[in-house]
Amino acid sequence: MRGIYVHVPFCVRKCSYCDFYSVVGGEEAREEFRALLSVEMDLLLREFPGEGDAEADTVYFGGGTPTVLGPDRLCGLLEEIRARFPVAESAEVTVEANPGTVSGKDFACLAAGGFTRLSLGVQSFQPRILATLGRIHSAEEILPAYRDAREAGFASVGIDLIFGNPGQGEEDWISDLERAVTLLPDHLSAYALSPEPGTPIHAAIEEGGLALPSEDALAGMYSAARETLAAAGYLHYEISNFALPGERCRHNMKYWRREGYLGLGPSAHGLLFPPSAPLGLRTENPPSLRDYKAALRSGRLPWSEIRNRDREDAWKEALIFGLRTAEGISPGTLSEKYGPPPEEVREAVENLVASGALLREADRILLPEGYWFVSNEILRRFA
Amino acid sequence: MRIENIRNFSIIAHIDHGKSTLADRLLELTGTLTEREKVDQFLDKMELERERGITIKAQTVRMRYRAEDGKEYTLNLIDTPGHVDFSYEVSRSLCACEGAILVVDSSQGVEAQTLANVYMALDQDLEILPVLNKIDLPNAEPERVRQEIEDVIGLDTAGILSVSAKKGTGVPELLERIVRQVPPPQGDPDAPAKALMIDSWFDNYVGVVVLARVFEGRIVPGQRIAFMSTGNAFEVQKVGVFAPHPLEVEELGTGMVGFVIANIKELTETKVGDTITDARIPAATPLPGFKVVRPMVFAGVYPVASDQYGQLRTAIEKLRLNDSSFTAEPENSVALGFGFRCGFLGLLHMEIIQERLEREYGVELITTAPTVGYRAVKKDGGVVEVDSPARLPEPLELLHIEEPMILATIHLPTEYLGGVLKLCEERRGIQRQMKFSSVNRVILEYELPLNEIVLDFYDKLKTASRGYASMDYEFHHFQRSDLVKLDILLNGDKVDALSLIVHRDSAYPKGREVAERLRKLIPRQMFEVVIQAAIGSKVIARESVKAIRKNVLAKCYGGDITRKRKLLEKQKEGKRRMKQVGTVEIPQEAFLSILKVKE
Repeated sequence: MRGIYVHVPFCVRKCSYCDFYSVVGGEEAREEFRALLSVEMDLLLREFPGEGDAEADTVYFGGGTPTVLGPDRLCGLLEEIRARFPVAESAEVTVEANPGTVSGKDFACLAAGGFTRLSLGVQSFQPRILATLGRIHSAEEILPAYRDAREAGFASVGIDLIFGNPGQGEEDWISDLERAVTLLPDHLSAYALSPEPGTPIHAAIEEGGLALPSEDALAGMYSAARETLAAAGYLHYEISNFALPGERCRHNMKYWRREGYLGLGPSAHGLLFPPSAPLGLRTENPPSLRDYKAALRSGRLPWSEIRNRDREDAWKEALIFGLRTAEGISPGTLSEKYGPPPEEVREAVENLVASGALLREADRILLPEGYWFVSNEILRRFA
Repeated sequence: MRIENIRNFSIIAHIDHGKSTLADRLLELTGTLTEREKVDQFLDKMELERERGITIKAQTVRMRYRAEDGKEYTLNLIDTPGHVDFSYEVSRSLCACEGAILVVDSSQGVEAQTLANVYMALDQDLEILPVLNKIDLPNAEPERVRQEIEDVIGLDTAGILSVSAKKGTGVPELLERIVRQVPPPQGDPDAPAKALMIDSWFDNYVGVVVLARVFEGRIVPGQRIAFMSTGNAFEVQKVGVFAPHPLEVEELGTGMVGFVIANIKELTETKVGDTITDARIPAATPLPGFKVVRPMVFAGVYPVASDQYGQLRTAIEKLRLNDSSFTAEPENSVALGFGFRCGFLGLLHMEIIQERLEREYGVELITTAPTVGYRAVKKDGGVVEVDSPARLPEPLELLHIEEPMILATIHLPTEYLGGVLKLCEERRGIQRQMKFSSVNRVILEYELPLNEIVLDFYDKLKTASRGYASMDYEFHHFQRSDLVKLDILLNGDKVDALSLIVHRDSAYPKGREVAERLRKLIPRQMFEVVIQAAIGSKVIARESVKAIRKNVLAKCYGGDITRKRKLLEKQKEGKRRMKQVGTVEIPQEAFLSILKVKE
């Protein structure tokens, strides 16, 4: 089973912290984008006919703000996908949405059109922080949006929160967490803000206009999230992700487990396992609608980068990403898939297990939860 | 060339008094250098020399000069380094000369190395031509400085020449004076060959090149020559001079300075200071030769990546071919793995070797804190040379430790006397002499432990005197002293490469200072790092580096695995320059900078 990811590169406005690819784009561009996606899928099938046989059990529309396309276009796109790739009946089909941009009617349309899961970009319940982040929604719009989503009948609704915002204290964060929990979402992502160069928030921090909380304060917030959410029954299944039992995001799990996914749309990344690259072919679309379009119009797949993974890459990736999850990795399973681990990797794992930085539990290797917030210190050894 | 028309001379000066500039002018005026070849500091061939504005290796150049008397002269300029670390090179160069131009900056006056160099020149019975330089500067005080030369050095300054090497003023007169005042070489051209080996270096194409001064007889291609101390004999293939580029000549006659190429494969087959003679008709007695140079400062030199050890060994071997004044012995450290304990003439020498190893041989290095060479006297009467704290015998076996003392001569204006005296006292100095060379200049002589001056004394001296004090020193004797080994422990494990030998009185402040410095240098890690300074089993300072709290890549968007992996690779690369000691990662600067006083 594999996943399909669609990157929708449109937003109403860019948030101050966001460095993913998105443009405002007009109605025409949105319509064109829909057509381009079909071209991309057709080209992919032409060059990799085998990809038409593998059944997908997850589809994920991310962005940008996918709902900018409107429910009809999104549902139409989903149809286009289903027409070309087999998608399981029970598939998890996620769409990201922001409060204040989607009406109750829109949600109902999406649910009726086959979307089963909604990921709501709440980020914070506090107006001051929403303003710093440059979010377009207000705190008041969150609750109605959430209610509408629930009423529309999505099987699973998740909420994204950001912590470590400039001017945010631990109490602010706990208050956000508690308010999120009272909504009873199925899934909760808690990301530490990472100001990327080139974003307005990064510039403001560099210039001294904004200040991030200290490292100790951030660690405190992370612990607070773990404690608050655990008490509310959420499982901490990945560094930044929490879910009620059975509600993990199946699509994102594919990233951590190194399972295949198609990446469609500008700046989308994919991982294919064609016969020519049995250990994986990582694909990367250009982060530019123009380049994306130019490639497709000239009959080429828009891949700006492709990387054929070898045994060492496969092992390293599996460790770097598998160890981000509570389930960890199984060396036995990985050996079956990729062959025995390279000596350097095996040695690094053994040393880390010996020093207690990794845990061996039955046939699995895990990163102890206490190290998750400093996980780079360990994972970099596999880079 | 008739021997009467040869003049061999050096230029001696305190650092920055304008020696290299004057050399440039002489080369130009004699037409030795064409307009096209002109570069500043022409004789400083090494990239490092130009960058640092100093002379490291001696160079020679032959000039032709038609004097006012209508005769043509051969002027051999044997250049000398200016820094005290390389004073042995100066004395070698002077052995090849009959005269020395003493350059004194007419705004600075007589400085420590001016005097040290003059003494060396007087030791060799050289004719000294004092010259006042930089007379074009607005703050030049030629009359005061002239008086100083007379008073402090005792040279006759009647008719002293004033020049501006920068502008060329007075340089033509200087050439005439060289011809008139520097005596021509003595020596019997028909006697068996007798030449002094001033220097030697390795050339990839021709093997060993020997720089020699012929005192008697001559050296010609085809001749079989022998080195008198080793008895090794070789057949001369080529002889030549530097004019300034290598120029083959038919012979090196009596009084000449030039190079000899004799199919010598290994630099170890030659010894600087040795006497070269004719193998068939050897001279009866050798020339006096040179004092043996001994390293003063030692440090561990390790490759950052342990798999570069082989590369480092090759690099050191190659570098030693051209600089036999540094020593290297294999050493093994628990913390740093395999490396070398190297001996240097001083800190500048150490920095230069380190830079050359990194730059010319591409080996990334970790250098440990430099130490001087101690002598440990054991209870059983044995004496151990201790060039590394790790080699200090166990306390139970140890009777006492002796440390090297130097005799320092410091020149300074009287207004800074207070601060400089204080500095010397703080550094356990014992005053031997204080004399006033003029109303406002004073010369101090201090016995000081080498240990106390090796790192930052010079900087401190400059600060205390606003840059006006100058210093020269030489090894004096070994002296029993109350020294202890200061160990550094990280999370309870002793890090051998961080140990120091210090005076007991300064052990506490030093321990605290080192621990604090390490706290600032060691990055936060997954667990708390406890830093302790200890003498034996007694902990005298403690610091800790709190555990890292956050280092995580929170978001992974749209399956962009590549970017995440790149970020981790970058972090990994950053850590590659760290040394893992036990479980603690230490940045390489830690090993050297724990002793630096400046941040």
